[in-house]
Amino acid sequence: MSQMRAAHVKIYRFDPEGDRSPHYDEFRVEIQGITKVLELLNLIYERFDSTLAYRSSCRAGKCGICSVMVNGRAVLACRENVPEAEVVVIEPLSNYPVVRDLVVDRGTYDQRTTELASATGIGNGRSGLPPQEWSPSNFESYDRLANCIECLVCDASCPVLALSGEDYGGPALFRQEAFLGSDQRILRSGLSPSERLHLEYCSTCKACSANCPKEIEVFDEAVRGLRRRKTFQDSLPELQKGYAQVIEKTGSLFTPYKIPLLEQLPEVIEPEFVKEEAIFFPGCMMNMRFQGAGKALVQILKSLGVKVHLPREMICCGGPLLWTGQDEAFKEIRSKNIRVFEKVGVQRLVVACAGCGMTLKKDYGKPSARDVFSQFLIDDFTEYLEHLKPTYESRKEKKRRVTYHDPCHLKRGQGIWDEPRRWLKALPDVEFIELRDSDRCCGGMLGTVNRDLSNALSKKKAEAIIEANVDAVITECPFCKDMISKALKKDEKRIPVLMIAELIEELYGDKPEATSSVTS
Amino acid sequence: MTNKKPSLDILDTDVLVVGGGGAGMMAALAIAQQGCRVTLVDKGIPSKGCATLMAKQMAAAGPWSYPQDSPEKHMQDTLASGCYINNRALVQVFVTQAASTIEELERMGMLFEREASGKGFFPGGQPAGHSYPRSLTYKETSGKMVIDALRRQAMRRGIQMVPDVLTIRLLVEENQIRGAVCWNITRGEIEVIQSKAIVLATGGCGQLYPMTSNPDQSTGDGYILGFEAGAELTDMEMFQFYPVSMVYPKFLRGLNINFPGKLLNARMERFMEKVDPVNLEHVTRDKLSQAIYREIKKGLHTAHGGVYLEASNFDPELYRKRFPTEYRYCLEAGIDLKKDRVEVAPAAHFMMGGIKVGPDCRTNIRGLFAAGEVTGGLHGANRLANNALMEIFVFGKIAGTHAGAFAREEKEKVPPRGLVEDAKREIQFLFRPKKDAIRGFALKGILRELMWDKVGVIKNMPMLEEGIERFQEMRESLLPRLGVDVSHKKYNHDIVEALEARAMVKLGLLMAQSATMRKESRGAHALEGYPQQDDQQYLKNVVARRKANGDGEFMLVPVPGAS
Repeated sequence: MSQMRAAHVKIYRFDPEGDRSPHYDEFRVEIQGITKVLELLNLIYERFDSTLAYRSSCRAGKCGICSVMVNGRAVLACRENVPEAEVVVIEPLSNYPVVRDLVVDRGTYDQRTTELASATGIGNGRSGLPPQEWSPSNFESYDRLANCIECLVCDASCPVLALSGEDYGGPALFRQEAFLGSDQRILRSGLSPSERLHLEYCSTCKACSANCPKEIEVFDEAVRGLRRRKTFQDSLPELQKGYAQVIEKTGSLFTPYKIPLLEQLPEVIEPEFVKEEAIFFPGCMMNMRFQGAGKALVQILKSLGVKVHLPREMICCGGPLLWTGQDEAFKEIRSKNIRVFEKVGVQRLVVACAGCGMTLKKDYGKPSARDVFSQFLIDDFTEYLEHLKPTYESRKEKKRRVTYHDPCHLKRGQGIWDEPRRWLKALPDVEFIELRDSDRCCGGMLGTVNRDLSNALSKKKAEAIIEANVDAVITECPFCKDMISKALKKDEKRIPVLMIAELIEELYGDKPEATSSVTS
Repeated sequence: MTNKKPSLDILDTDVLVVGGGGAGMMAALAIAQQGCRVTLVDKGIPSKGCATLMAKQMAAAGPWSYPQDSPEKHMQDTLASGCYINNRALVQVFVTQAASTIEELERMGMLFEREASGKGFFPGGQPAGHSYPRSLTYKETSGKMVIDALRRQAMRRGIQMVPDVLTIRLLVEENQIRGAVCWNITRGEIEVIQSKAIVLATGGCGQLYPMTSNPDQSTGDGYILGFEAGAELTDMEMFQFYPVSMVYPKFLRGLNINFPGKLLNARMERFMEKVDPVNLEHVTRDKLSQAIYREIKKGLHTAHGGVYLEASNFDPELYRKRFPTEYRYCLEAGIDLKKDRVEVAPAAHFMMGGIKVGPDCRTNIRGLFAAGEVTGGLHGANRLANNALMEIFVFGKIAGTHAGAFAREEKEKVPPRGLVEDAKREIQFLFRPKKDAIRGFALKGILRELMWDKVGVIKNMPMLEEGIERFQEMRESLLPRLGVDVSHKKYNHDIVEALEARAMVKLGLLMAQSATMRKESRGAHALEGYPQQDDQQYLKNVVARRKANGDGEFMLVPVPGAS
């Protein structure tokens, strides 16, 4: 699109052998007739600075070598539009050493994929091997993993790779391994990268999938696929191995240490005037650990005319089983929950746990029309609020300064990041500040796997929150709330972490009533 | 002059492969198979800077073909498309070995689409000029899938693949290869490679034109490397344009469109009705490119200088499945194929001409082999679609096998110092400060306009002569002004642009001169004033060779094997 506009561009410059440290060069560039970042780089190279180093080849998103960071996001320069931002910051791909300016050294990836190639082979050079029979269904996974152009955008997006590049294989390598693994003709020998390079460190944040220019579901297809392997299953920490059993016994991921929320609340909560009905699915964390948030949410729904159903037989959504490759056990849990939902006779589900929401939306429904559950409307609480459209009056207090952390399973898992912000900005007594790296993983999923790693991630998150100088940080995931609270407790300010329901309750709501366990 | 020890490192190998595309990778594997040391260099990242990545299908007659099809039929189609000036021996080898090469690729890790039953390969494609469907593929990414499999195989074999090395001069002594001089882009230094044999697999030269489907690296280095080493070139006037390539938006210029459609000029006339009422748009690339070019030259072009392509039988599901990339790119550019038309024009696509080789990929220089698009003769005057992706693997393997066998029998010999110093001087000249210095990319810009104007889709003698004069002028007065910013030597893009531009000027000149030798129209060579094909005089190839003063000398040589 031709447009008369000037872009303020900052480009990372560094020669590791010549310069002591990197610096940014600034350019103000008329970009009429320019659409893509690569065109911008070409323009700067041709007209402003002939020493700029960057890679390009096919110009059409097929070779993968032009990847760079643009305003903090890993992209293909030839495919990414120049953002309409005040400043356009272009940097080399994260998590890889810089050769010069925007050119990085892919050596680690090459080395690791060489090792991987050496551990796999078709016939290992034996001649006369006939082509295997191939039916499309044998190669569905292969097909979903095949389009990778090794642009390394996924690696650059990975928060775990950023912290432990030497130990951790990273999404690009795991994608390659899963791809080769999905080829039924391949013979494997020796230890695989996912076995040596800590496949378990993946925090399920899905930044890889979200940024992949080829839309490969790196986490769901490759990481989860590899996690289904026997070797991985055998090496699961005891706690994770025991999930299915605990859920079987208690309906939850944890053994209860107090009365579960579902047993405290009646199975049906009826408002005075019923506008509509919905099932509230609290999930294990709100059922046990953050019951206050659950109660607040239920109270809000009731005050908005929602008849809330809380069938006591709801059990863990099963998400953590899926994410750890325990797909078979998940199927049973899913069936149980679906039967419970269908029995209620209401086809609307509301969740406030990002992980539960993602699992219910993505992994529960089947395309078959016979499946009643596939007709269900499933909303995150913030989506449901958009539907209910409550209004709140200012209490004329001093505005509460808040910021928002995007749970991975909400932003990338469900595509929800606008709604929470709209709500926070709409609340009259709230001043909303955007958090730096708001969608970077807090490490919540790694607590049982690698304490150091999860703490390192949550520490980064805490630093950004403290830097924002806020009264509270809001997030819509109890796992995130848990992780971030622990990290913030170490700071003297002890900024509270609240879910949206808790914030609304605090600012505008009545206290939720303590109710009896008798169903109405 | 003191007898100083050379300060350059000399990298020693048995066979040097220049170019990390499909042909180069295949050659490297074959060389390793011969038990030789092999080093593959690429001026970008091996397997990532090549045109192979864009290629979608490969044609071969094999067990998957229609019963009436055969390698013989494939040969006939190839000769017909090439207007019978193809090198018969090359075509024979090509069609005979295509099927076995396909099977070998599968053994190395490629997966070709199967038929619904899962048993045989699915010959999905039948582009214009093929008598039967015989093109194999994996979805729309075959080239990438094959080269990825080859690269993994090369990794398994421990083959040395070096990125960011630009080869600038071949070292030849007494008509025998000794090695090469390269510019190591990462380190910003000259590197000398000593080798007993070299396989040139440097691809094509689409970058000589303003609009091309080829990657940035396709600047035709290999033709000039061979030419300056004394190798013969053939058919340098035969250049293919891909007729239906996007003109607009700018960032998609050169993208080849594969879905079928109607072509309309600015008056919304379906001009192919007049050109070929029977086949309409389903004709070979030379004919279609020329037809579109004529409409454009008549002034009946769109706002951005092309013609309109209207998608036939547009079905979003079909397009999303079979042409996902094109469909998506069009959508992003605001083009809704249901109601909008795409502006298209011929884009520089493929060089049929190149280094003259025999069926064993040998050139006239001992120890110098070549494979892939850098070679000439297989395709004659016009390449059949899907033959190029097949060619690189068939001949990559042949070149590697023979180069390896050759190297095994050869003794080591250090490259002559004098030649190395010569190449050094060439680079150092670039670094010297100059008045009115011109940068490589700027020179390329001038050259591209010249090529499109004078050595374009349809040529004529006065324009060619003008072009030749301009090229000679550029060679005399602009090349010496090539300058680069020397503040950084490491990863200095200007140096690469300048070195490429040097070769491109020389190449453009050769292409223009070669075109003046053929006073007829045949295949991709359309010469105004000579509309007919003249087999009496021109069932020949134009062969070029370097004279002592550096200029090209051109001869008309009867087509080998033609009656």
